[in-house]
Amino acid sequence: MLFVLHHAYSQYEDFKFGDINQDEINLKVYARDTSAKAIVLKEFGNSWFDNETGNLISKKHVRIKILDKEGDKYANFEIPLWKRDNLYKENITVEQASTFNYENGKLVETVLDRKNIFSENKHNYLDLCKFALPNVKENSIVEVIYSIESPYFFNYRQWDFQSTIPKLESIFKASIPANYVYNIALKGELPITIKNSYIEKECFGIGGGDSYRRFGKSDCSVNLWGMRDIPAFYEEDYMTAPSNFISSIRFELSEMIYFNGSKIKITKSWKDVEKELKGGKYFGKQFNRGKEVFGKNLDFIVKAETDALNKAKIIYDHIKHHYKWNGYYGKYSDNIKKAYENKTGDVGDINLSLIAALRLYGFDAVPVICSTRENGLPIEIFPVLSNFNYVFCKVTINEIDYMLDATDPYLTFGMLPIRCINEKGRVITNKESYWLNIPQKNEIKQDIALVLKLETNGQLTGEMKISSYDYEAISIRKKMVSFNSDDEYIEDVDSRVQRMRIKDYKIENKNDFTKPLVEYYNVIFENFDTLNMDRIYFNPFIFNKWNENPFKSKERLFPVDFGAPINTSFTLSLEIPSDYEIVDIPSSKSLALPNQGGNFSYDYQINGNHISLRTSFKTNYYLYSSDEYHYIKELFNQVIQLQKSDIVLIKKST
Amino acid sequence: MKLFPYYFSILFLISVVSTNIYCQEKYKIDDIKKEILPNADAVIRFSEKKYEVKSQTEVRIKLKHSVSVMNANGVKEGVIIIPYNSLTTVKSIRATIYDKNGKIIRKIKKNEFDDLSMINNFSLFEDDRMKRYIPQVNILPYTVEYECELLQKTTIFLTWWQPQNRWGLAIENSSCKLIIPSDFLVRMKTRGFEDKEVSPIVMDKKIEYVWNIGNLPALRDEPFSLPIDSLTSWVHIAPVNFRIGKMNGSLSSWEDYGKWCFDNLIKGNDKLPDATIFKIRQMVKGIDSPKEQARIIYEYAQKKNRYVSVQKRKTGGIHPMSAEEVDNLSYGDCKALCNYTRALLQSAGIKAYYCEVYAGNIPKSPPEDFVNATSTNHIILCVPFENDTVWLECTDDKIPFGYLGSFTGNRKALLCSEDGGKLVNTTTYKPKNNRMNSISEFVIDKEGTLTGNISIELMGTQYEKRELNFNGLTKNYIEMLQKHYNHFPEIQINSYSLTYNKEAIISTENMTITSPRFASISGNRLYIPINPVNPIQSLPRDFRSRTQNFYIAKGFFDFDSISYKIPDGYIIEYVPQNKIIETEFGSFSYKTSFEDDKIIVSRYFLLNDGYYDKSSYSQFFDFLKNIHDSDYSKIVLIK
Repeated sequence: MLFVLHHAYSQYEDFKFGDINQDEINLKVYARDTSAKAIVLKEFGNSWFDNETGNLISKKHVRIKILDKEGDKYANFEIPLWKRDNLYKENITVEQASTFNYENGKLVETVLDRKNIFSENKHNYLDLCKFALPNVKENSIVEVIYSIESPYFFNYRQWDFQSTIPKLESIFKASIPANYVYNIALKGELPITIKNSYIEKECFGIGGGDSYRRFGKSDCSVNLWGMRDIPAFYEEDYMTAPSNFISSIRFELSEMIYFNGSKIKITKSWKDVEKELKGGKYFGKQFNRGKEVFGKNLDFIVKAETDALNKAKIIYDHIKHHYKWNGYYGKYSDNIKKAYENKTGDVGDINLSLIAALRLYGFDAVPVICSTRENGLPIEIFPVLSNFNYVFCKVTINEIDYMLDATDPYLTFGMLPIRCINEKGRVITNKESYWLNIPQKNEIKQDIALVLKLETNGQLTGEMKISSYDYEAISIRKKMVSFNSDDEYIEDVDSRVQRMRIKDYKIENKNDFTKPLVEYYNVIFENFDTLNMDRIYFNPFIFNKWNENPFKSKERLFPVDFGAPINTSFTLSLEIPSDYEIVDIPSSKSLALPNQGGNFSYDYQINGNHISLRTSFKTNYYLYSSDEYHYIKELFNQVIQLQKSDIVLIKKST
Repeated sequence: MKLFPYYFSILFLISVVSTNIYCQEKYKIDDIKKEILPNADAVIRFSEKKYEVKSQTEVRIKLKHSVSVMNANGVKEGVIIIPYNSLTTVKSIRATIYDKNGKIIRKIKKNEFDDLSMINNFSLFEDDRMKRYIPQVNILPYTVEYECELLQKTTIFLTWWQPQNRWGLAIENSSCKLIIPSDFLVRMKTRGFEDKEVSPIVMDKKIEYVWNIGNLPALRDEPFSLPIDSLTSWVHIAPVNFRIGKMNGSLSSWEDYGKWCFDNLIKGNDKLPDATIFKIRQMVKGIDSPKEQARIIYEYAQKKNRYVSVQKRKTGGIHPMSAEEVDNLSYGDCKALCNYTRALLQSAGIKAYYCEVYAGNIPKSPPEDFVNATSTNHIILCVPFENDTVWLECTDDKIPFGYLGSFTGNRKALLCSEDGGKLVNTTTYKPKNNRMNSISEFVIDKEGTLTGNISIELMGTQYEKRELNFNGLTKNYIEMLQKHYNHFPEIQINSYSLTYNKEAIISTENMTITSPRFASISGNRLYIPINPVNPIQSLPRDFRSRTQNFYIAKGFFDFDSISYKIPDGYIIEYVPQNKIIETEFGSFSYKTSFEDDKIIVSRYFLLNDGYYDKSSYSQFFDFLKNIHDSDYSKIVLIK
């Protein structure tokens, strides 16, 4: 019976190197995706622990057909190998690598010469193993088997079923000794169609030789997952990390049992994780050492303030301005004291310092761990700590929650940077941790108001006021500091906006980040050569105009993610020469997205030779499902069409 | 078409290092003279580069450098990057960071520098590495000072000193020193030192040259600027005789250097297996025209090989992989693929020359009067025939036989041969020959929907404007088209073809499209954008006071004809006026005519190459604005 069973599994064993069938030779175009430049014909991955060393071995066997010369880059391999130092590092063995060409009715194999395998020392922690297969042409089949031996058994290598080229079949087999327990998560939309699991008896005994006699051997659970006809993965605009959407299987070590019977839980439940984090040297120990780090240093700036909220704001500002973020993410800190002294650190150093400082003054400040947008969404079903690459602070004052991040000096109290607005974060409280829907209260917001007079010489003169809020204000303020003076900034604006000349300007709240940034300009627009015309077509949509629809595809597979809601308005008050009258003006319009998703409105009023007009565009959310895609696309279409219409003026007959 | 990452790049990239701390607060920001601050993102406070040639295999380089970062744009100037490789080692390096008052914030030791490889794209082997330190300072401005010593084991490249090598960089004080043994011969070319005679100081068995500049305000990056090399001062020094690896060479003349390249890089390196030679001879048997034979061989090599970057540095990265090895592997870099294609041509009795060239969209040529090994970065082949000369780019499998385009066209290349080297012109592309002809016929219906077809021919450097190898309307390709034709608010592509006449080097795009809501309706009026097919995309920035002269590098000639059949019930209320503009920058014409229910818009736009004085920038801008006005005007119909 056992034998029969084994036989049944054997169809999911690794395929034979170079055993290429006629169908594979004949395949010229992949019918399901005719654009594919290359295709994975077969792919088999196998991971297990080595009996001698206890290291994790990840073996990969892949057979790729190059369908088009442009796909020949898929015959180049670049395999990352992580290292800590020369001893503790990953090693690769390229077992076999060949190119097969079908010439004159037979398969000709060209074997990769080992001397053409190169190693690049990318930086202190990464080597790259690189090779390009020889003799690759259109319709070549390249086949490679390599295995990576890794001491990092914490990171059981993830397996990506999906890649930038389609695959006919991809199978992954993981053999895990009973002394290691991993949490396993499947990502992406595609279903697993091949699945099997069985127990292999006495497969793993660490130490090699006879040592298993002493400790015994452990059984392994063998799991096998596979997919067929896997489409290529294409990225779209306005989407977060591809890793959120690529079909893959991931592992996180949850517990380890030594051969002497002792058991170490690595991650099991949030309860374990919390305990580990809160008591951890690089997390809980850090944000509770406020007294030691800050001592009485902050007293003089905080003491005079009695209002709790103001006090928190002072502490936040201090930390924010004290630190220069070094650009790295992270949820831990080696030592916030050292970071504070050096005035620089990663996200963990800075935000854990912030929490420590707030706690020192009695605030209910707790860390929220999350995953940045480009890092993908954390898995929710069980704790996978390595998914979280960021930490910010949640502080509760007078029963109101504020989310704080001190890594960017332009952020204001209660505002998070767009990079960590990624659906959910886990709040590590003093009691039980919980999931938090990360609120996005801030917008990409700008209001533009123009008061213009059409002069008889064809120029438009008047005043403009641009008020920018939240993320829009941040992006302008960041732009401003790239100039040595306001004059240089204004000259730059002036040179970029076509036909507009800034005569005079005033900037308000440039350095007060708690208030909207306001720019006032005295402007001249050169619009018409001359007004000696009987009829004038004037396009009033001078600013906040969409010239093209950012959404062009017919369909959308993934959600649309703007990062923050968009909220813009444009008001124009226009005085026309008294000898002209208005004969045509685009009619008022109002459009809305379903489920209060947002709206566009345009309205006007005419009062003698005075026109006032207002448009506003607002999305109420930052994230829209792919089902809502065509509504968004249509909204943009309508806006663009309207914005192409003119006001028509004619000269009064005298 | 790919560059081989330049093995000489080290000297171009080195820009830094520091002085001893002899006095406190020497880097006060307030001490910088106000006159040099406008537009300065960073200010070089003090810089000293010293090159000391000890022997043909030992050049000691000492850099002391300090730079004040003035604003967010200048932060990248404060990043310390010291490139090195197997020919150049970093002996020592240290840095100090100062705040705006000149107080020391931090001192950085050698082991605090990151050590990284400099490879970005897939490349099998290169040993270009760098030491890097990114200062983290919260408060602008601040000053970074560093000091480093390098040992270079070759003399093929000596000195490239250009203190003001970026926009937005002001200079307080910068100097360069070259010390050579009195019997070591060098040649030099300088810019900006014409009026300042640099007389060498002759010492015991040594000669010392010193160049100094200072008090220079920053240059502003403006549209159509000349390359910064032609605006600021520099010193370029090349040896007369050099050594790289185990090879000795001469840079006494282009003739000598070209011969050296041939003798050391090509000769003996071009042997092919007999079977390959036989195969090639069979392939061209019976074909009379040598040019036709060359085309067949070139296309064979294109099909057989692919580009993979492999920079073996045993000989400084200039030695091509042997023809035999390429024959086996079917891949190589530009040197390897040119050497191989040359060998194939040779086996059929066709003479081809290995040519060094500078590749990049802005043409640059090795100077006639200054022989050096560092002004090229790519290899192409030159194949002379009786009546014409064909140039071959060997790293791209899609480009037509004899096409160089804007990557290596319009410049001089160094032709290497056994008879000596010489500088020769590559293919010349005149603006009038860089043509695009478009003919579009559209029908507009009552809802404003546009349907019709567009037919476009592309020639000269405009040939590159589309894919060089179209094979099917893929999702990505459709997206690319939608982005390209972004003046249609929405575009559905009903049919599409892109074909190539590789002999005449013309590509032809034909498509039928539907664009809903192309024309907008407002009340009784219908507005039709006049040129959705080929409008100028945007106007350059319009500075009130241009500070530098400008030039146009990529002239072209476009001719467009667009006809609109208008819907029943509408009559024309307004069409933009006809226009003809002739300027020194080029000419432009716009004309509308009518034929039954059709409006035909004809447009041409010729942009000349050339150098212009800064005072004519406003005229140039007006010229473009005038075109922009026409391109974005509308036809108005009324019911």
